[in-house]
This record gives sequence, structure tokens and C-alpha cells, in this order.
Amino acid sequence: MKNTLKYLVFFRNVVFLKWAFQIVFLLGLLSIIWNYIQNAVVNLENTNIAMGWGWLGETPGVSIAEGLYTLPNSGLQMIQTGMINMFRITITGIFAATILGTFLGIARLSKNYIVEKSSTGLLEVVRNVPLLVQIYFFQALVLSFPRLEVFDVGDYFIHVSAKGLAFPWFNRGPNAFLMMVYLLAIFLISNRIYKWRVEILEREGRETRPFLWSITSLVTLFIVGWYGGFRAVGIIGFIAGYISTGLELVPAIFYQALISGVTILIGYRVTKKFIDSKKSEEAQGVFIDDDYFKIILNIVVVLLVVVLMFSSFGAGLAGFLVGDELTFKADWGLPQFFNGVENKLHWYPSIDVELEAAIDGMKKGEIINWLIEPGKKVTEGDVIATAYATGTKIDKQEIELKASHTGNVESLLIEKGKSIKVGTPFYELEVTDGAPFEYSTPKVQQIGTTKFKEYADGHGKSISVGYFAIWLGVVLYTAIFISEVVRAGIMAVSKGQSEAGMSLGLRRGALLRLIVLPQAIRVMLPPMGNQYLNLAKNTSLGIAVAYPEVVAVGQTLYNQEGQTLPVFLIWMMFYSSVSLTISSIINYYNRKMKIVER
Amino acid sequence: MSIIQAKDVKKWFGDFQALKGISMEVAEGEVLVICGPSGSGKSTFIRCINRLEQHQEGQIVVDGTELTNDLKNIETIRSEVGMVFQSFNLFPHITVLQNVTLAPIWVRKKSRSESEEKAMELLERMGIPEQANKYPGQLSGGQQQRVAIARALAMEPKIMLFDEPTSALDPEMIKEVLDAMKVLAEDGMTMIVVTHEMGFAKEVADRVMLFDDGQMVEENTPELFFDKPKHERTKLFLSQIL
Repeated sequence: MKNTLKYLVFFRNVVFLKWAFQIVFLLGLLSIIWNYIQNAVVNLENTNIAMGWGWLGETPGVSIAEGLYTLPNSGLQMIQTGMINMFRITITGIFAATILGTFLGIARLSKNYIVEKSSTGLLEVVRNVPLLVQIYFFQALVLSFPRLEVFDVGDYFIHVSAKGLAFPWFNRGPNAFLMMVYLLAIFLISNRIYKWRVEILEREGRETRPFLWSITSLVTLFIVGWYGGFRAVGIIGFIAGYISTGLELVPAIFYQALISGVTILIGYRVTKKFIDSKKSEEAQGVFIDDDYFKIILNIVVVLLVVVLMFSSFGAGLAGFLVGDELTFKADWGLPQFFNGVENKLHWYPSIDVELEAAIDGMKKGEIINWLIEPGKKVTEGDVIATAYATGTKIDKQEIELKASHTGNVESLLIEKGKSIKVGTPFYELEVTDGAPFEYSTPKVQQIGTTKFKEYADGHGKSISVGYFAIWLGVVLYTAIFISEVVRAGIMAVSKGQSEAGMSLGLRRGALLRLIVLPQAIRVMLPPMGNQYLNLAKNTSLGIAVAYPEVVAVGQTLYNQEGQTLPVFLIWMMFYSSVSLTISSIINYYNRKMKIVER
Repeated sequence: MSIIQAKDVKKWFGDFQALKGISMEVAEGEVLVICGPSGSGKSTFIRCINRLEQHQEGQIVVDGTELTNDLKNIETIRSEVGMVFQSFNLFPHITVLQNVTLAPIWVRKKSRSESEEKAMELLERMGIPEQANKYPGQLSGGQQQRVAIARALAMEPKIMLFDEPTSALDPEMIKEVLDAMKVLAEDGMTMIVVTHEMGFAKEVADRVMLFDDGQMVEENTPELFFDKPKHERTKLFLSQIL
């Protein structure tokens, strides 16, 4: 026998070489990443900017044109506002683009010459012009309207100006969240009733009128809800309150120990299962080198997690879970989250009432005397305090502040003698009355004592130029591509299907709805998902028309703070999670459709 | 009294003339078999009868209603004429029962329970009641074609058109479909069948026609058609097919 060694030396051991190569590769990759990060950190230090996350908790000192927090008091609130502005476009845009795209796709297949040619014309124009140019075009279109300043102050029904457009709307009152959850619940209930009636129909074969039943229950529940029944949802807030209190009692170390414990348990179970499988009759308890490596790897991973959980990282994570102060000084943690749910979904939701301009031009207010105290009931219109208004023509004009809602005062947030800006919360109120949604029409008003004008908040709904341009831009652009997807999907359904339907006497509408579209959707779903992803990502062009979505806001932030890298990380994480969410929803429906097909 | 009257029907596909003036009448309760080589216009002709193809010249009258561009007329005729296709064309996304009840519910506006009862009756007649809640993809070709017949019958048509109903089937499945069609013929349904199944023609047909090159070459009773064909073309065709 040639070349036989007494002992197998390591450099000829295939298993060793395989693992050694993998470990070397991993270390190499990690060192490249580490080197890059170190480089960035050193470079940033040289420019006197310390990279970090502290800015998320600091007041950025800039305002945002529109959104949740127009005057954010932390970087986090600013990013949140940007994200929500992005969702405002994405969610409504996906619905609008789908509906418009479906119509256009069907129109392109129409035998009607004019319908077919005009939709093809639209397609060619929209598809061949860059989206950015289209967005600029829509912006220019709105800006070509007369300036708002040329219009009289007052109420309008529908209003268009260079500042955007405004129309009547149902604005959210303090009870709106209760009502929205209630509406969602009754939709689910009536859907359940529909399925239950269909079940009986299928089982017993008698007419059970599922649609009539579900629509009747929906209407009944809606009427009950509208006249106060929606407050039943408050049970969620009630429970959330207990959860919030309970979570605050849990010390941070508990979570660190819990996660470590669970990891050890999972590691133990996985390893034991692996060893057991090797002990089966076929394997006969023979372990090869690979198996030992796997077991060792499991142990190392578990140990790493445990070490990580008791390091500063684990402490930070636990800090988030218990909601302690160190997480960005913001209301950001599990207990705070449940507390928020409690406030919004309580039988009587609690709100922070913001100081409103009681007279034209008022910029700040200084409380002279509180006329209310915690525990006292107030009715809408009651005088709650006297104050000095500043910013008006007469300085320090004495005014009366009136209650905006009916309810019980919980606490006063501002001491008397202190001056606060309009828009700052100044007392907490438990709202006991009022409609969930209030109908109102747009109103044009003067901004302060300046000669400029604006659409008043809370009167109807106004849409800014930026929102209009980016929304219409992405919707039209995506709808055109969706129309191609719809057209391809419909054409993928064989001609024999339509012929069979026609020979049964089905009309074109019924044929499309009952036969062609259900089959076309199967083909359409995956490419449709791609278009939704494109729409979500294209909203970042909002920056071109000064629409404050997450990219625009992030750019403002890093120009302000110099924290380029963290902002990039946030962008990447945000867009990745949005995209992954959209594609998993599409995949879910894709699977569901396939089962129906069988 | 003839239920279908065709007078000098002509049809072009671009430059190609598919039908070169077909005239015929079909009496109520009659079973007519049309045969002929492929490309002879036999499928095109029966597809003209329910307006899946539009004839350009001539006149087609079905049960007293003339086929014109009048949508109302087309709808009336389509709901009275059932059709069975070579490739079944069942709707794959709904169950067999839903396939059969779809048209009664959406076209005839009947209640679901009534149409389901009727559908089960038809499926039983076709010998496949146990397949009602399966999807078409789970059935064999012969079963699918019988579902297609049941689906057409659910509209209670006065006339049934069969466009090569057995051409896409395995030999052993052909019999079950032909048997189902025989039952239908015995019940007095008016049928026009485009087929190459000469056995079926001999046994069931009242009349047999031969189409060639867009024209009707021969028309006769099955006995005379098979035993004493008048035209050379018919003799040639029969010698090739039998």
C-alpha cells in the first residue's frame, strides 16, 4: 500500500479543509466589513463628527411642511413623519393605480376603436416620459393656478389655487380611532356571517340569502355603532392599560434572562434532536467529523446570544422592551406603546389639547388664570382659561380660551404665567362626547398678521402641491404598467374560455368578471407585486417637489446633523421592510389563488 | 317545421373563403351529422350558428330569430343554442357544479338552489354526480366533456351544437361521451354534430352531410350516405376514413 500514513494529518483531512476554508472565508468577509466601518469612523472623527444615534433623541430645530409632527421635537419624530408621509402616498396609490390600471388594461383590449386608441395613446405618453418629468409637470400644472392670496378669506366648497387643492372631508375627531377599529370589526363580523350562511346553503341546499344577511348585519351594527355603540371597542384600551402597567413592573434583567433562556432551550432541543436522529437504527450512533462540528457550532451560537444579551446591546434591547428613559428620550417602548393604545382606544379617549389661535394672528399664548382643574367637567365652548395673546396687532391682548371638546379634565400641562406657542399641548382631556368624524368644508384664512393665506387645518381636506404631484405621478405611471400586466393576464386566458362563456349567453361584463378576470389574476399577481414595489420606491422622488417623505426628511436631517451613515442605514432598513412586506402579502395571495385552482 | 334555416351563407377569413354558400334546413328533433376533411368549413359553419363567427353574406334564422348585428337577437339565440367544444373549455377555477350552475344563475337569473338541483339532475344523467364538487382539472377527459354537455344543457337549449366533441379524447373515453350524446338524441334534442365518428353517424343520425372546400357536397340519410354515396368526393372520403 502506497501513501498510507499512520495518522491522517490535518492538511490532508477533507473535513478539516472544508471547515477551515469556510471559517477563513467568513473571517475575511468580516474583516473587510470591519475595516470599512473603522475607516468610516476614523474619517468621520477627522471631520469632527462622531457617528452615532444620539441625534434621534435631539430636537432637530427644523419644521416639516406637512405630516404627523410638523414641529418635531426629536430626530425620531422627524423620521416617523417622513415614513408616514411615504405610506400616505404608497397605500392610497396602490389602490388607485390598481383600479385605474385594470380599467386601462381592459380598455386596451376593447374592440371600441376610440377607447382602444385613446388608452394606447395615454400609455405611450406616460410610459415614454421619465417619471421625474411627469412629477414636475403636475407640480407646474398646480402652480399655474392663481395664488391663494388673490382669493377672499372665507368658506369654500371646492377650492384650487397655486397652494394646492381643498375639498370637503370627514375629519377625525378624538373618537375616530374607536370608530375605525369598530368599523374594521363589523366588516369582519359581517364577512363571517356571509361565510356562515354560505356554509348552511352548501350543507342544506336551501336559499339562505348570505348577501342580504351580511349587508343587514353590517348596516344594523353601523347604526348601533354610530349612536355610541363604537365605545364597546374601549375594552381593547382597558386591557392595553393593564398590559402597560404590568410591563412597567417587569425589570429589564427579566427580558435579558428570558431571551437567553429561550435561546438555550431552543439550542438544546435542536442539538438533542440532531443527536437522537444519529442514534436511529440506520445511523447506529455513528458520528462523523461534520456532526461534531455542527454540535460545536450550535453551542457557540447559543453562547454568543447569551453573551450578547448580557452586554450593552442586550441592555439596550431590554431597555426598549421595558420602555426606560435611555431609549432616545422619546415615548418609545412596549409599555408606552400600550399606554398609547389605552389613551386612543379607551371608552373615553384621552387627548392632549393643543393651544389654538383664539384670534387672528395669535402666535403665542400666556395663561393668566386657569378656570379649570383636574377632575372638572367641561362642555365644548366653556371658557377654560384667560390668557395674553402675542403676535397680534395689539401686544399682550387679553383673551379667553374655550374648550374644544366636552369631557373631564385630567391634568394641566402648563403653569400660569408661562408663554407657549400655538400648537403646543396645554392640558389633557378625557373626551366623553362628540362624533367620531366631523364633516367640514375648506376655509381660506390669513396666516397671522401677514398678507399670506392658507387653508385652515381641520376644515375640509387640503392637498399640497407636492402631495398632488407625487401622488398623481406615481399612480399614473404605475397604472400604465399595471394596465400592461392586466392586458397580458387577460390575453393569457385561452380564447376557448370566452367562447364557452359567450355560447352560454353570458354578456361581456359578466364574462370578464366571472370567467376571465379570476383566471387572469393568477397570471397577473407576481408582476403586479413588482409594480407595487416600484410604486413604493418611486415615492422617494417626492423630494423633487418638496414633499416631505422619508428620503427628503432624511436628507434634511443629515444636512443638519452630518450623520450620513445612520440615515442611509435607516433608509435601507425602511425600504427593505416595506418591500418585503409587500412581496409577502403578494406571495400569500399567490398561494391562496393556487389552492383554489388545484 | 325547420328550427334552423341557412340560406347561401358565405364567410371569408381575409382572402380565404371558408364558406362558399351553404344552404340547409334542420327540423326540430333532428340529429344532423356533418363530416368532412379538416379545413372544409364544417366547424366554421356551426360556429356561425351561435355567432362565435360572423357570416358575411346570406341568412341564418334560428327558431324564428334572424342572426343580425342586433345584440338582442344574438343573446336570444345564444341562450337557446348550447355548444360543446373539442377542447371542453370548462372553467378551471370553479368546481364542476359551479360550472354547470353559472349560466342559469347569471343569464337565466334562477336561484342558486333551483339551479343546483337541476345541475345535479343533469350530472346524474351524464353519469357523473359524484364529481360535482371536484375541479375540472381533477377529472378525466371523458368526464370533462360530459360536464361540458351538462353545462350546455343547464341552459335548457332547444338546439345543441357539437364541435368535434370526441377528437381530443382517448379511444376508451370516446364511448362514454358518445353514449351520453345518444341519450340526448333519444330524448328528442335537435343536434348538429361535427364528428369523424362514423359509427355514431350510422346509428344515431337522421341525416349526414359532407362538407368539402367550403361547400356542402352531399346530403343524405345515413343508410344511403354510407352504402350508396352519390358523389366521387364522398366515396373518396369514406374510403379514407373507414
